[in-house]
Amino acid sequence: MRRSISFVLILLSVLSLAAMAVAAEPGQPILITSAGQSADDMILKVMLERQFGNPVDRNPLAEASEVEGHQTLLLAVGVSNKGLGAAGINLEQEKARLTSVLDAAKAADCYVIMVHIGGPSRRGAGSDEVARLVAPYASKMIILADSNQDGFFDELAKEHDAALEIVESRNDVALIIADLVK
Amino acid sequence: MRTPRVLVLALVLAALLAGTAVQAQGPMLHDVRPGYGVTKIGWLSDYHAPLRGTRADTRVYYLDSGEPGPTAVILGGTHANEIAGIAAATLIVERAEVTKGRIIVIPYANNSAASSIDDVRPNITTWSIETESGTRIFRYGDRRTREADQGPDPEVYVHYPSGYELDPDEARNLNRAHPGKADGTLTQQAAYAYTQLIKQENAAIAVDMHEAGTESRLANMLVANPKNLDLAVIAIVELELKGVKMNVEQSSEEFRGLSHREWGDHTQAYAYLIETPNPGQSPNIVDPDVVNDPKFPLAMRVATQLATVEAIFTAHELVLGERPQWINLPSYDELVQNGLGSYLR
Repeated sequence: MRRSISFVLILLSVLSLAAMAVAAEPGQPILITSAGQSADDMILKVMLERQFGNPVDRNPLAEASEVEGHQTLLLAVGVSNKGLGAAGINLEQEKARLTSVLDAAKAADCYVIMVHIGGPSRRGAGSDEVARLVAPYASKMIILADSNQDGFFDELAKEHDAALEIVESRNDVALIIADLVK
Repeated sequence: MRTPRVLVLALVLAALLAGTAVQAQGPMLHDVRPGYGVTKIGWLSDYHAPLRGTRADTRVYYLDSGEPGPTAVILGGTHANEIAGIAAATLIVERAEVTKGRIIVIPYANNSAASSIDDVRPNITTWSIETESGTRIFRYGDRRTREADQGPDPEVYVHYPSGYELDPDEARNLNRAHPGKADGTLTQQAAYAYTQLIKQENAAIAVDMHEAGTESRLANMLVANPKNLDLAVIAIVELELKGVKMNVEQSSEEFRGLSHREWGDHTQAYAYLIETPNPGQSPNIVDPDVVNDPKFPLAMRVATQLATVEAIFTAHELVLGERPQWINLPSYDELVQNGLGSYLR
């Protein structure tokens, strides 16, 4: 009996340590990509480069192979039909790309941050669909208050146990991320 | 009783004179009061002579610093019911002085539309502002060229030169006619003149000021030609740091005829289009006040337009090393706090 209890305790300790070991941590370098092809990922890049004073990697059409070597993956959620058109893809292709990138991030122990800074104009069926696709992978969600007037991201964060920060301005997003990855 | 011959002759003469008077009207003139910064006033027909004498001809205001620097062309009134662009352009003409480069301003870009009545809000034909000099009254026009000035709409409007097909009444929408056609319809000829203006004046920056409904996706949007999307993003960030929230989008690949797409593709200019929210364009607002709406007052919309132009200039200086420089315009906060009437002459 004593041996069984000891074995269970040892097993639980090992499992806990294992869980701690795989939890991703935010840090640099960062890779920014778009989730929906709005220009919000470009806005994030400009704001973060102002914070850091150094270039930040950004590819709106990043592929899974580009995740390697980055500690944090930042996704700017927001569907733009003009952006999709300019990229020569449709929403289904964008979702397939995102799934592949997010799976790669998970395998590489990359910290995933979901960001929504587009406000009400970047909400709607397509944008919300993409947000639901990204959410299960996100450790953190940083959302503009204007983007969350209906509490959609509160529900999403709760459902996926992600840390949620609601901010008033896009500059606040940059400050939070800069602080997180330093 | 037989009608006296004198009376018949008088009636015929009156009819002839009435017809002559309508044809002689030419372009409508508006209450724009050039300030110290204006160094020359011209006409759109200076860039395409066939426009002279038509309703589409319109005043062009030049603010030339005399110092080296880039040229910016700024349009208001492409859609004459989108009054924040008209008001912002008017304010530039009346107050701004340029200290580097040049700024060329056209407050009533589709002057035929300005003389028409908005078919969505036919009860709004003017808007007014109290100023130090008294009440100033401005036209609230229509989105499109007057049908009487251009003739009936085609069964299908085919954009030149792309061949893109649009609804018939878009044949009278200046923002579906760029880059224009020298021998096309009146609207196409006006668009052609703007393309010539931008090319001949070697404009580095071309801005088209518009409005959209308050619930529209386009409200508070900066649209940029793909070749200058990065500059538009920097402008948005600059605005954000000053507490002005705008979104950014690039021109559609397939949707043709719009200023930001066609000016950017067919001229050397970096082209932008600014949208602010106008309650007059919101179908769900009954009896809108297009000047003093509590949530979207005209002063705030004008302030947003001017702040966005300034942010575009800043972005150009950051990336390209130069910008037009202007002074004596009120700041965003000053306009919002003190109202448009404090600054119009």
